[in-house]
Amino acid sequence: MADLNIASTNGVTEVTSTGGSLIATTTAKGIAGGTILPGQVVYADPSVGNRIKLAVASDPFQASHVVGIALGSASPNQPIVYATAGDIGLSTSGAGSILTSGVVYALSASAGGGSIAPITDNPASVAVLGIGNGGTVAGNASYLRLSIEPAPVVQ
Amino acid sequence: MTTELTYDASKVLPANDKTVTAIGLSGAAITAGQVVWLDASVTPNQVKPAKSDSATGQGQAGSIVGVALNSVNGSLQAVTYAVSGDILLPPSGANPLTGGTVYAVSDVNAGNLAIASSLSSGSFVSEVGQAVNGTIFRLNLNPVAAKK
Repeated sequence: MADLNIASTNGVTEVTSTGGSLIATTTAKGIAGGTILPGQVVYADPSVGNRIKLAVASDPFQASHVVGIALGSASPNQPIVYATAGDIGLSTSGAGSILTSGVVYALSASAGGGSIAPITDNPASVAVLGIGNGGTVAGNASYLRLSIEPAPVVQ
Repeated sequence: MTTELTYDASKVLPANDKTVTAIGLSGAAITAGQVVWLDASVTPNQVKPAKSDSATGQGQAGSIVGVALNSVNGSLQAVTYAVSGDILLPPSGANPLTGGTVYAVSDVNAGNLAIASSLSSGSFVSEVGQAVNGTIFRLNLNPVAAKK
């Protein structure tokens, strides 16, 4: 399966309502260490004062320092807000690239960084992000229930 | 087809002093290493082995609280369960922990862990955690119970 294809406009939404089965988004703030777009997975780089940067699974250090999913855009040195827990709304499209209920998602190894992909088994390192949340409805989902776990050092 | 984890229940332990644990009352027999859910419909609330199948799983998978660290042979007995951190699930049998693999509540046998991507359609997926290696399991409870 391919990376999630997140809409470029209004592709990511914060959940603020506490009604129903959704959990409000928990957020954190940082300073961008590069260009970041909404929906991209980010890590905190301790070598540059924990600047927030795009993470890629092929880099074990980045995968082990994942902190959340960006909720807005930022250029270098601008403030960036990212989701760390709860539900976030994701608008996705494309065959094989749609958020699916019951699927566990992790940081992708795709070049460029920041992408979200379904988990694969027996990988070198997996930074788990969450599960597609369709509630009691299987198939396409509109929310990702976050449960971020930076990649452990696989031994 | 669902692939359930196999491990040595007699050697289940917290991996270090950073493992967070809680204690509850059992509502059924529980084996160390089983994922448990909290049944709040009874008084007192009781922890029981969880299952994620289409028939009974939404409530159970949506209420998981941890992985049992000791075994009990019936109801109303004290069971300690890990809530977060690392635990030891030493290898035994055909499907031991594999480093990097994500595990969820099984939809076949109550209490068992299963490879998350192997659950059947119609099951309610809730992550329990990820294997660090063939012995250490890192808890990352996500009781969303999202229908697959």
